[in-house]
Amino acid sequence: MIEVSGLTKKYGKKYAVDGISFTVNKGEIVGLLGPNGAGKTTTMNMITGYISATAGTAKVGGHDILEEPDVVKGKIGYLPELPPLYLDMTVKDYLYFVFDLKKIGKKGFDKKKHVLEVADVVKITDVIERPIRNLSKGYKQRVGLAQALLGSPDVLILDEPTVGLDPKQIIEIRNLIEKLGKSHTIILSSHILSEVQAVCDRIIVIAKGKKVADAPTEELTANAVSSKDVIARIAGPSVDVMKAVEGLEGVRKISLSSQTGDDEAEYIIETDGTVDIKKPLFKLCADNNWYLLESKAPDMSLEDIFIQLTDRREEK
Amino acid sequence: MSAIFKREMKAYFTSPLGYIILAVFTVISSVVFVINNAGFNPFSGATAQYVQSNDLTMLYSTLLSVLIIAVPLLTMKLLSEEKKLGTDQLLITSPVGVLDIVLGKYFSAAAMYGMSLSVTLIFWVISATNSPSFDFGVATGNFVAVLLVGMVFIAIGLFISSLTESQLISALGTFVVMLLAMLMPTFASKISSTFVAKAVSALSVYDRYYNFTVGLFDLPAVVFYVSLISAFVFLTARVIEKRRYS
Repeated sequence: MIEVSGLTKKYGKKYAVDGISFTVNKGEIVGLLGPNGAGKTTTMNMITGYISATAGTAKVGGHDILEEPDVVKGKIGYLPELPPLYLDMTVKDYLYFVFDLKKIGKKGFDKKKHVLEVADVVKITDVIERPIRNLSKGYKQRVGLAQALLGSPDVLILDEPTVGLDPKQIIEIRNLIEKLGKSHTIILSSHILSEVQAVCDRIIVIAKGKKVADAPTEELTANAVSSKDVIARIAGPSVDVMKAVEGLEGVRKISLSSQTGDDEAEYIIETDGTVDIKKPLFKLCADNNWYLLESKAPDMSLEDIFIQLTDRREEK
Repeated sequence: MSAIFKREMKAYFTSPLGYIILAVFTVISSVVFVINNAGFNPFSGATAQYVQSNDLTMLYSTLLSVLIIAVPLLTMKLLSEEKKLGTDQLLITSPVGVLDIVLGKYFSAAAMYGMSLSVTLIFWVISATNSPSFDFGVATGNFVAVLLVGMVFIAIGLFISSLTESQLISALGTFVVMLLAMLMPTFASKISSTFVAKAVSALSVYDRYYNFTVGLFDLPAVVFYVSLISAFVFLTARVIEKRRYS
């Protein structure tokens, strides 16, 4: 559905995006993941034709954005990072305007009916008569999403769709994106791993304008979490605990990271990665009448993944 | 283009701006008409001389001066606001050409202006019914001339609004350019080099105004005005287009 090859954007001598290539198949939800300033927005702006590429091509449904801009633009619904809203208009007038602007009537949609349908999908029906200026951030974001959904475009491109929303709204938008993914091809960007993990089939990681990884979500996160450390919180005499745990098969080292209570502490257990020690650890505690309060793999932050990925690239 | 035109027209009337511009034209033209044409002069006291005139030239040349306030108001946010709100992203990623966007904007401001100027047509009716010698040719000439000069400055104002994100800078820039244009004939008369003087007055928007006021249809002037409008509309489209490549 979307083919990007060698896409490059240069500002002066600096590369904002440096030769990124990827394809997105019909019906996929793909996440562009990267820290701020990695080139996610620039990439999206080039695919949607907002800015032109210095080099490389972007095709949607086989049409090149440079050669047939109007065809490509007609196939894309774009929600930029800042939703493009006219604050002085009411939600309804705004959506009518976008309907006319994108010439959606020509696709055979009925204006009034279609706008109401889309408003229903993103749940803004109750504010449809209100001026956009007076809406909360969450509603504004949804109006922006409604704008992108008008005309039921084949491709949805969403730039940080949940940024600045409260947790409840984030979950709502996520569910909505998942639902939309059944009928649209979606690219969304984020700088939060759990964000893309939650909704995307595939994740493309971008750092400093370059693609550093492109893999199905499970694969990428599985790799990322294949850490050899286990963090465990155990209630029991710490000297005995450390001695006993060190005796387990596969454990290299145990260190006390913090005392969390009178008789309990958090330990970092380093293993050689050959066995999963969680079950033996549980049994060990049970046998000694200690309580295993918690055992988990350390949280992998986006930074850790980047370091891993970029290290791996350098090794090659 | 029509979607943008409609939105802009509506925007003029959802803010007070459209009403203010209509009111300014109505009030000023009425005052000039009452004093100059109806002959009622409040400043001459009780011995007011009721000199009546059916020549609307004075009225229209006053409105020509009003343009220096009205045009910056009309054009200040046309494109600057789009950039600031990020709505230019919506416009440019829609299946609409940049020239269509610019033309929609231009025609909305021009239509708003034409509407305000059309308020003066009521004085044609009043004058024509009261005096059989009312010269429609002169009135039409005056109307067309003010309309064209205003449309030229709207194109320039539109261009300036594409250069900045600030409405204030956009309005001020347009104001300054119009002020300079207004002073151009004066500058030209002070320049000793006849060649430079000629060149300056050749570019003057206001110099071409006077032929119309005596009812002459000055085709070269019309061509000059329309060329200027096209040039600035085209330049505006280029500015937006170029931003995508920088």
